[in-house]
Amino acid sequence: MSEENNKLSWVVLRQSVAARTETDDKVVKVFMEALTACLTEALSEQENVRLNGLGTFRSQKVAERRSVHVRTGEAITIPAYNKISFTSEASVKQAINYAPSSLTPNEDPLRKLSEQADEIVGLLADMGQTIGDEKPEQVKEPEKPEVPEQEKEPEKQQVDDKPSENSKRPSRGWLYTGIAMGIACLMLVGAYFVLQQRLEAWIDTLREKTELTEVLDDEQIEEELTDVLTEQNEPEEPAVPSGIYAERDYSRLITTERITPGSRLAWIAWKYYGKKDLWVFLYEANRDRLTNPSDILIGTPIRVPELDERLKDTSLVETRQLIERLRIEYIGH
Amino acid sequence: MTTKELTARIASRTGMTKRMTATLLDATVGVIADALNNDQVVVLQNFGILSTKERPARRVVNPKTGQEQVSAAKRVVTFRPNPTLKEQAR
Repeated sequence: MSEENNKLSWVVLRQSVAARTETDDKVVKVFMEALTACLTEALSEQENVRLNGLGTFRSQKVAERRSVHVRTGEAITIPAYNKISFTSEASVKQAINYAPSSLTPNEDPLRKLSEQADEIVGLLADMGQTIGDEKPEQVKEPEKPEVPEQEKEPEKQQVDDKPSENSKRPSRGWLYTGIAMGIACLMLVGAYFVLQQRLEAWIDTLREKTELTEVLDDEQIEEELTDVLTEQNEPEEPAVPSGIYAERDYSRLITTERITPGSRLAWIAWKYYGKKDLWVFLYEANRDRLTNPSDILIGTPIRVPELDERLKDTSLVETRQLIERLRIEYIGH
Repeated sequence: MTTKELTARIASRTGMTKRMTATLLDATVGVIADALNNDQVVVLQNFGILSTKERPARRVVNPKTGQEQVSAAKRVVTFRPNPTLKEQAR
């Protein structure tokens, strides 16, 4: 029904309705003509018509207004008229934007990061100012204290040479450096312990793994092999027969397309293959660039490979099974 | 006008039973919805054209709070009335 054209003509619509309800085409014709006549009648009387399962046709009065003729610049009046519009029902909206086609691309995280970096720089600058103003007692950051230590030492020597008026300053300086040093020492010690623990844990897991593999080597491999072989024999019989369903060749490309804001894998699939469902093959062909089908960066180039005719034909049972399997693997439903 | 009223009107106009009209209307709506779902353009003679259109992402402002947000890209259904319908609805 959908393959012939991208248009559902009046005749085809009538025939599909006739087939669906198993009624005579002539009866359907009479019905459809009555339907449009009734709709037209209602809309001309400014009545809104709600069709369950589709949406609402609205008729709205647009008042007479003055305008200017585009070519001549003459002042004209546009007479009042009824404007007819259509609002689709929520179910139709949802169906049109169905799950895989709503996999929207994301903003570039690098841009966000750089924005954050700017903010942090601004904050640091503010902090620097306040520190300079107050000579604070607040906790200094652990990286900083080492620098002031070296700077302050010569100061102290100079200060020592001078008489007792400035004697408060050096004592304060000593205090700050002492605190800072203490914090730094504590952090170093803490880091040392944490690292040691992690190392030990890592070594333990390594040991366990090697032990496990050794055990496996000796005993279980044979059992497992037999298990796997018996398992494989049963389910793979239907899946294997033609090579494309096991492994697909994406070497021949139609084109590469960049993801723009608003485009989706499913839409690219629709554009080139005619079906949204085939996005799974696009994703598979671009596995090296994409990690998550619902998290694609704007600007990512997408390779659009040529697909085998059998893969494009969703009326084939194997193809449908493959698509479903891949979809569940990629997005979980 | 609701679907029920429309059914009654069509039934009285054509002389069919209401039940028959209801099933036909249901099927028509179903076929149209399916076609729209497949991104097809639906032509309704002497009435208009229903089609789907891609609406790109755009910035929207919440009129209450003045907050600017991005409305995500989506597909929407559009209706273009036939000239005869426009003329009659005038």
